[in-house]
Amino acid sequence: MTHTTRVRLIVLSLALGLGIVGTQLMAQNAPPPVQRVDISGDWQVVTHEDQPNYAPGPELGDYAGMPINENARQKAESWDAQVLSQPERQTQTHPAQYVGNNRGPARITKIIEPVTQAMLGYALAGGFGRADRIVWTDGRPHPSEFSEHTWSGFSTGTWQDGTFVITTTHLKIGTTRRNGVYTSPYAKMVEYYNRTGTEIQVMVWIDDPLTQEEPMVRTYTLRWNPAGNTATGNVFESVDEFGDKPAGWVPFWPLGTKQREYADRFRIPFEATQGGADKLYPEYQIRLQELMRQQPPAAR
Amino acid sequence: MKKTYWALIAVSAAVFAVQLYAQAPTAQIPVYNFRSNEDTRKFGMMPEDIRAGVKPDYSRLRDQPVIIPTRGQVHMVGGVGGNVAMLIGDEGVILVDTGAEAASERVIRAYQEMTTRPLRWIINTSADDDHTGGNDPVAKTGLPGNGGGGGGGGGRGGNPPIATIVAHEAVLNRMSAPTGQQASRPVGAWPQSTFFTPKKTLYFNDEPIEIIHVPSAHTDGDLIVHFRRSDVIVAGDVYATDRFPQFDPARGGGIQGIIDGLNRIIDMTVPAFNMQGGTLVIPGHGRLSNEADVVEYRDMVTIIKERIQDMVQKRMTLAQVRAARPALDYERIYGMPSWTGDMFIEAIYNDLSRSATTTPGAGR
Repeated sequence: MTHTTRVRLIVLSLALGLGIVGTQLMAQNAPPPVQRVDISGDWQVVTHEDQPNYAPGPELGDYAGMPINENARQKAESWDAQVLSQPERQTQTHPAQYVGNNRGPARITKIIEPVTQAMLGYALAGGFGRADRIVWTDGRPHPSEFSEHTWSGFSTGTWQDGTFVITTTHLKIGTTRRNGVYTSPYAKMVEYYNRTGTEIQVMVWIDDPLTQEEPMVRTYTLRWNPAGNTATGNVFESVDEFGDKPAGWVPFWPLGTKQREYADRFRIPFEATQGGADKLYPEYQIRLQELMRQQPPAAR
Repeated sequence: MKKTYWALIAVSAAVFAVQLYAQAPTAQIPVYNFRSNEDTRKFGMMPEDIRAGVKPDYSRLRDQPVIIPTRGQVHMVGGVGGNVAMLIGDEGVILVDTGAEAASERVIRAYQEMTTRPLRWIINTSADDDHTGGNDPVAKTGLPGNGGGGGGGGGRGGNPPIATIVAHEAVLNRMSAPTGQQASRPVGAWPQSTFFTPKKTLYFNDEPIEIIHVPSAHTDGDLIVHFRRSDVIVAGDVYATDRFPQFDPARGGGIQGIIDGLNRIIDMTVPAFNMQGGTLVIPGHGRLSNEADVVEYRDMVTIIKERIQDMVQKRMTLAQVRAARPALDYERIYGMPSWTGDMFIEAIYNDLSRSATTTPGAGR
């Protein structure tokens, strides 16, 4: 083989190798098949929507607008806020299915695979107790039914015509409202992130036939907040709050308790505060008017 | 020159291979808010295939058991009846329970595919068939954990070449029978190493292992196993995520023993962050758990028990107690056809009624 032939062969093999590598690299940066919208950035939830769910917390017995079934209602009626003082519950954070979880994500960042630079997902950082979530966008399946359930659940995301859609499973038993209303570990949550400029409208759809008569829908708005500063957050530390109570003490309201404060305080017919699918729709106003008429004058 | 030529070819091939490898599906990046590192490509489900509100059938035997690398040296095997835990290391394998008899081949395959080291010990958390059904065939694939007893010469002595089965003595009593009577289980399924003390310890694979007796819970022979270095607790049927706790007074079980056992587990677990992660708990049935799951379960059992206790003290009949629906909140999550909420209520009612009529100081 002559010197020239050898050089040609070497150049050819290098070109072949570079071509293959180049093709591989290009394949990793293939254009997305659907219209994407980027939701990364710092955000602030607009808290005047569903305001009682944020700082003050809802009233006991306020299940209005929630399609809960009799099972969930009994659990909520027996829920005693003291349970959060159990040493083994003090550091638990908001579950992902909690309405306006953690006041919405305060910061959303892309997760980038360091070698290929491919996008793997979004990290949604929360403020209260750092109830962070990961949303995988790389097409991975959800874990098996034998896998651990977490407060954040397991989330995957896809783009559907410009809307970012998050599907979450593997949730823990957790509250959807801070008065004891809960969903089962077999709930499925789908969130739709619609971004318009500096705002994201989030629609949350929680389906759990074990605790709800029909899926529950909620919305909230995130506003761009470039000055936001998600720090380490207030990581919780468990301390003794029960004093002389024995280990394993579980506070709860007795069976048959009816939490009537909300109805009495706002002069709403008790039935209307109890939640359920039939009370979500405009037709219920006829029934509500009838109930209002039946109330004693002082309660109107 | 020829060497340079081949070297360049080799470099090109290596670069190509590296690129291909980089694109191959790799292990998931661990994140602290979802620690499971199971192979989801093998066992996972696409989100559209997961239906809301559908309880998985954890007791169904799978052709391919689900193996979850739990933590450290411990793996959880699901889909073989009761859950099985595997501790795998240089010294060999410990299995906590052996699943249902029909799944024994799958249990054997599960551990043998993970290691070439021998099975040495089997620990039974109770005598139940769905936890010990594979004892006989699985033990025969191993070697004695205690190395054989006496006999000199350093051999295995008189012990047969099978893995050593450890259990509480009540388990042996359930499986065997006095001379002349028919035993419920074949001799090969019986534990060879039993104890009656509150705790037994082993040190194996550089792992301190606590084997703790939980009195009068699911039965009178329940054990929970704590792998201290790996930080994993195997709970047996004291804790199951898919059902109300099953306890059998005829075999020495009781509701207070269940609650005490759950509180014991909670006392031993340490969560990592936000009440999750940290010490992991493998339930007798159902999904891998952490402390928060056990707390929710303990609260459920305690609330239902105290509701019924209140009604028993008011001398209400079983029919009246049932009508009050003290387990309504939880029936759809934990009720199952073979162990409904009504059955659970009746079991607690009978247990507490018996305790209420027992002379003080003469209870369990």
